[in-house]
Parts: sequence; structure tokens; C-alpha cells
Amino acid sequence: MSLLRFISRPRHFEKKLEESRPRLCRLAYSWTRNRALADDLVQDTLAKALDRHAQLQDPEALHAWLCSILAHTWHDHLRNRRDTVDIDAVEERELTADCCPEADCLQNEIVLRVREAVGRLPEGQREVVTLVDLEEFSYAEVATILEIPIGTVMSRLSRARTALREALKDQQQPAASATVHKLKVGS
Amino acid sequence: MNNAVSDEILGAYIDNELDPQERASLLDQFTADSSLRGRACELWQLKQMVRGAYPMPAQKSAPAGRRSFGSPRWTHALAASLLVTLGTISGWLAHGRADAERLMANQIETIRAEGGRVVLHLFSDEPARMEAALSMAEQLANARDRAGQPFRVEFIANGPGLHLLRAGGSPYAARIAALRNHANLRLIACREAMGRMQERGIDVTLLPGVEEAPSAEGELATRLTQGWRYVQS
Repeated sequence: MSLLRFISRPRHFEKKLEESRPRLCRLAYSWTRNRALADDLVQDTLAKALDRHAQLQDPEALHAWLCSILAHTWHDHLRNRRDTVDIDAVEERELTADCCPEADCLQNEIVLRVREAVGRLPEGQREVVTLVDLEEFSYAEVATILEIPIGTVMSRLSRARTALREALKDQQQPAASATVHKLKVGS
Repeated sequence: MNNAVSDEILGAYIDNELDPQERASLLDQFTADSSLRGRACELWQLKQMVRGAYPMPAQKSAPAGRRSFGSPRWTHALAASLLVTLGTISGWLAHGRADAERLMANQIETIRAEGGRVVLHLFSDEPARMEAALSMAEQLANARDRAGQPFRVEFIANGPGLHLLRAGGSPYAARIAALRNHANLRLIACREAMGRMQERGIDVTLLPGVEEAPSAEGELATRLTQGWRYVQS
């Protein structure tokens, strides 16, 4: 790496990190259900990423790399908190006391019910379903981010969706009434 | 007996994780099994509900009130609408044109019977899907409702499907240009998807006449609420 690139990369990198902040905050919020905690985790994540920027080999993989750091940071936080706090009690209190980022969300029963259902998933399932549905990572990318086998990604995702379907079944359009058309050309 | 198809496989279908052969096999089963289609539709709705429940927080530097994600109210539209159509156009290149046009005509007749308003959603850059979506769009743009008025059509692209509408990136630029001559058809790119491509260093200059929507989900929600047909390619 030339001296110029060595000097300029962190500044450019810092800008890229800042651009990633909203997506990371959304993901962290879906995991933590607490806006302030999500912001703190993202701040820690970005600081670590800046320190370790030389470890990122593929710039296109920046977001996956950041999500991996965020997952580690979140897991560290959970481990530390479990030493001292009843996590179920905390999560329940945060779930009811926390506020949404937008006022109209507060009035949106479906949104709150979906968040509550996602929040009640076991940690591993919640991480997988949000990485796939919110961040649109492939199963292989999720496996890398969370350092788990791809089969585990699929089984956690399937269990998560089964639980969500059960929790939200009265919010969904009945399958029987859904008109499902297939235009399969010429087969 | 659709229990032979596991939820994991159906999930992989809606997550676009199946290989072409697996996808084709599943699509064949959809043709014959309405309850299997219903399960896929439920899973798709769940995925959209999760997406809609977590709007992107606005960046602090963004103008006040700006949102980078569609209104979460769109989940109501999915929950309330009986008009969601999980349409899949596939196998286009591998089979005969005559059969293809007959089947498309059947689809268009269904849409006509329901008012002639349709959103065509492309979330793929697979050539067969882009070709099929474009062909459907061309047919829809020329179709007329029972009152003799042209259909109202929105062609919405997001995810990898955005490549179809990129200047310099679309292999179908001439056909897209021809579609612009139809005043009853709007070509719409998802601004969120554009942002993600730009983050990866891809130039996202849109073809002339392509409009931007804050998010594909928001636009779809609006149209579903208004009773438009939904066709996915």
C-alpha cells in the first residue's frame, strides 16, 4: 500500500462507516429492542471497525463485515449482562417502555406486534431472520457473519418463521383467499 | 399433499436461494397445489411484515422528516388486501412463444376482470425473468380494460432487478425506451436498492424516463391498498 493510500484510506473508510450507520442501527434495534442500546452497540462496532480497517480485504463485503462485528459486540454485551441481570425481566421492561423511531409507528398495531413477535424469538433465530429479511443477506453470508453452519441458518430461519406465523396468524391474509397466479410460459 | 415440501424449502424459495432446477420443480408443484401456493404466499407475507416493521432510521444529516424506508402502514395493505397475486413468470426462453403468449393473455384477462390496474414487480437479474417481465409489461401496456381505457401499469424494480433499469447496465435499453412511449405505464426504481448498489461502488444512473420511489415496499403497499393486482416476476 502506498503512503498516499495509507493516509487517505481511513478518511474514506470513515465516511463509508458513517454511511452504514443507519442500517446497522436498524439491525441492532431489531436485536436489542432498545434504541439507546442499539446506538451504543453501533458506535462500538464502528469504532472497532475503524481500528481494524486493515483486516477488511474485500471492500464490497463491508456491510457483512460490520454486521459480523456488531454480532460479536452484541453477544459480548449479552454475556456481560447475564452475569448481573435477569435478562427476561429486562427485555420485558424494555419491550413495553421503549419507543419507536417514528410517531406513526406507535399507532401501528401490526408493526408493534411484529416487533414483539420478533423480540420474543430466541436470540439465534432473531439474528438469522433479521439478517435475511432486513439486510437481505444470502444464507451463506449469514453463516459467515454468525459463524454457524449454513444448515443451522436454514433451520433457525424456518423455526423463526414458524413462530412468527403462529404469533401473527390473525394479521395475515388467509392463505385460502390469496389468489396465486403463476404465469409459467410454455411449460 | 404439500407437506412433502418443507417450510425450509419454501423459505429458500422466497429468499431466492433455490437453484434453477429446484425452483422449476417447485413451480411445477405450485401449478397443481393451491395449498402449497398458499403456504408460500403466507411466508412471503411474513417476510414483508418483518421488513415493514423496521423502518430505516433517518441519518442525522438528512433533512427533517425524510424517510429512507416506506411507511410501515403498508403492512396493513398486505393484511387487508385480497388481491395479492404471487405470479411467477418463468421458463420463457426454454419454451414456445405461442404457448407463452396464450398464457399471458389468460393472465391479462384476469387483470382486466379486476379493473385493469397492475403492479409488475421484478426482484431478479436472471435473464429469463427479466425477459419475461419485459414481455409481460409490453403486453400490459397495450391492454385495455372493459371500458376501452388502457390498463394502468407500474413496473417496479428493486434488488438485483434494478439492473434492468440502469443506464449502461441494462441489456434491454431499447425495449425500455419503447415502453416509455406508453403513458399508461410507469417505470419505477427503488431508491433504497439504488443506495445499496451505490454503496457497492456500482454506478446507478437510471435509463431516461425511469422514476424513483423511496422504496419498492412503500410503492407496492400504496397500490395494494388501492386494489391493484400484483404480479411478481
